[in-house]
Parts: sequence; C-alpha cells; structure tokens
Amino acid sequence: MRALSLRDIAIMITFVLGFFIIFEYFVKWPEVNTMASNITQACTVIAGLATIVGVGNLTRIHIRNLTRRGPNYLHSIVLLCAIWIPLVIGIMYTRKTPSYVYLYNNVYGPISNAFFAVLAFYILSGAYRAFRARTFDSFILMLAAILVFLGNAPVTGNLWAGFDPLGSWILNVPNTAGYRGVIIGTAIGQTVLAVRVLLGRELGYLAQKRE
Amino acid sequence: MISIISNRVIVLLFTVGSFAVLIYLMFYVGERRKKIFHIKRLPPIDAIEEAVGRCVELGRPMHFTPGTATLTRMEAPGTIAGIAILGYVARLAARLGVRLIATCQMPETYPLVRETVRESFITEGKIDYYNDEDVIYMPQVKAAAGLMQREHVGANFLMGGFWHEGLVLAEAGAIAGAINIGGIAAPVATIPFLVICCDYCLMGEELYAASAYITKDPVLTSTIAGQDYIKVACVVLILIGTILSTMGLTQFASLFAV
Repeated sequence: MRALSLRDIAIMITFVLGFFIIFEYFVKWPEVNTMASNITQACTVIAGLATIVGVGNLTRIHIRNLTRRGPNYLHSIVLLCAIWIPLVIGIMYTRKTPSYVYLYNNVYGPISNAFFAVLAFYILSGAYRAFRARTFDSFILMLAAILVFLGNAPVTGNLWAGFDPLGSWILNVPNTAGYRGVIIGTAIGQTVLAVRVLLGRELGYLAQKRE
Repeated sequence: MISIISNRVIVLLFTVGSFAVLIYLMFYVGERRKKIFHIKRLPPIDAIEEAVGRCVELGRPMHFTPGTATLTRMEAPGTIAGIAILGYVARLAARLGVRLIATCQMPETYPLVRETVRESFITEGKIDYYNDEDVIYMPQVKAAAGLMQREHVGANFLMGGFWHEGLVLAEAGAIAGAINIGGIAAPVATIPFLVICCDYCLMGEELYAASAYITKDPVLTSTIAGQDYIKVACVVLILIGTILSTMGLTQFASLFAV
C-alpha cells in the first residue's frame, strides 16, 4: 500500500474543507456555521503568516546584494530600513506610538499617494495605444469611449444636450449587458475550477502536474 | 435544529446539478476516454511559446506575476489558474534557458510561486539554472515595474487577479519593450485595463480553461465541455425568466434571489 504523500494530504484537506464550506453556505446549523467561520478565519491567519516568509525573502535578497556590493546596493539599504524600522517600532511600541504614526503619515502616505498619482499617466499611455482605430472592434471601442467622455464632461452639455443621455445609455445598456455576460461566464468558470481543485484534478497550485 | 436556508434551495439544486454534470463528465466521459473534447484555440496561450522564443533570441529575461489578489477572497481562483500557467511558462523557460523573474505581490502566493518555478526546473532537469533570488516577494507593483525596466524584460506575463496594478505592470512591460500576455477573470471591473494594455489577453473564463488547454488532459477538457453545458442551462433559465418577468410573472426570477 502506497504511503500518503504531502500532496495527497493537501488534496484531502482541500476536499474536506472545501465541501464543508460549500455545505455550510446552504444550511442553518449554528455549530456548523460557527465552525465554518472559524475555519475561514484560520485560513486568513495562515495566509497572513506567509508575510513572514515574504519579508524573509526580501530581507535575504537585499542583505546578500548589500554584502556583495551588487547593483543598486544603496537601494537595498533604503528598502531594508523601510521594512524593518516601522516593523520594529510597530512591534515594540504598537501602531499608535507617535514615531510610527509620523513615519506612516510623512513617509509612507506621501510616497504611496505619489505612486498612485502616476497611475493617471499609465492610463493615458494605455488609452493612447488602445484607442487607435486599427480594426473595426477598436473603432467601436474608441467611439464608445469618446461618447462616454463627452457625456461626462460638463462643457459638452452646452454644445449638445444629447451627449449626457447617450453616454449614460452606453454605460447602462450595452456595457452592463456585456459586463453581466462576463460575470456569468466567470462565475461558471470558477465553479468548474473549484470542482477540479476539490477533486484533486487541478494540481497547478500544488506546483505539480497530474500523474 | 438543522435546516436548509429557504431562499438558497434553488441555488443548492443548481449547484448540485452542476457538480453532478461535471463529475459525470470528468470520471465517466473524460477518464474513460468516451469522448475527447476539443477546446477552441486560445491565441494568448499559443503566444506564450512565441514570447519565450523572443526572449531567447533577444537574450532578455521574462517576468511573471500571479497578480495582486489574495488566496482568501473570491479572486483566488484566478490566482490558482495563474499559478498553473506559471508552471507551463517556467518549464518553457527552463527548457529554452531563459531567465524567469517571478514577482509576488501577495505574501501567500510567494511560497506557491517559488515551489512552482523550482518544480518546473526540476521537471525539465535544469535545477542548476534555478535561481531562488529570481522569485521575489514584491508587495509594491511599482517596484516590479521598475525591475522590469531595469532588466529589459522581453516578455511580461500577468496572470491572476489585478486591480489598478494590472495597468501599471502592463504599461511598464510595454515601456520596457516586452510582449505583454495577460490573463484576468476577477475583479471583472478591471478586465478592460489588461485587455487594452496587453498584446494578448485571456479574459474571464478563458483563464480558468488555460490549464486544460495546455495539458490537453481529457479529464480537464471534459470539464470545459461541462462548463458550456452549464452555460447553456443558464442562458435557458435567463430567457425563461426574462419572458415570464416581461409578462408580469416575477415568481420564477425571484426563486433565484439569494
């Protein structure tokens, strides 16, 4: 008799917990509902613990880069300080301590906002490449986008009152119809993938091919 | 006292029916090779080999990310499907000797990605070429964008769940001169980001079908056929519901309200 491998155990856990959570969704049974809620929370905690592995990986890579004086090793110093200083302060003095709040509000916040603002330029360059009418499909996309832009721009209301209702119609009728079609297809695709995973036929996430 | 939640009975029946169809197709039709189903061509998957070949010719590395979605939310299936595609990409990279840089934006995907890449190199007998430092936990996508531009990646694979980050990564790939191959199913609202920015994009359910398409495994392809049967059932139910609701009979549609 073949001994159980780690992969078999992972498949068994997936099967039992997966079907249990599905079962729980349909029944009103306080003990089962509580147990499912606890399992879901435990999964979140386990996933959270993976942060330690991730931070460990980053630290290892950048300490090695620093000790080797590798490319951009000064960036590694910045990164290590950015990870470890707030982490140590947060663990030692909690997140409410003034130094932690100062770092968060005056370093993390502005940098994060600045990075987020860059998104506007990415949208612009993406839109520039997308809205070139190379094919009939891209022409339709471009036309729909222009009409929605015009519908949302306040100034165009003075030119023609029809831009606003036309833009709204495109968003609410053809766009919503297509959107719902994608949602239904995606939901069915997720169901099928879930069945494959629960029955141990989809092993890509276990880093192994099916034998 | 145990009871079935009353407004979920129809959904339960539909779920059980769907599972029964899929299990029948997997274990009776697929496993016993009663019928071999063929999946339509998926150009983004066909383009993966072309993109890896381009990296070989240009001597450039390639970048892969399984997205910024966690494994504990509804976007998780996309991440799982993305990691399955990573296995294929990593095997091609190992076989053709291309450097693969995999960045993970979520910590829980990092161990999965690392093991997938390592196992793929082992499968191809190229474990000596596997570099643990090329699988990086990189929570900020801007860092991954910078890395792509510094390393001049020749191909950029974005497979999983993305919010605005997908746009940043795809544009960074385009600026670096890489072929962008994307795959996204959820969140649905951000699908257009990848569709407009990528040269090829797996959209919605195509992402979930990718592993069946790659492996050509009859059991997996039969589930894709099952997916189409379930879709037909949904369309029929939607049509019946629409007709009855138009006639003022809303009881049928309300049966499916959760």
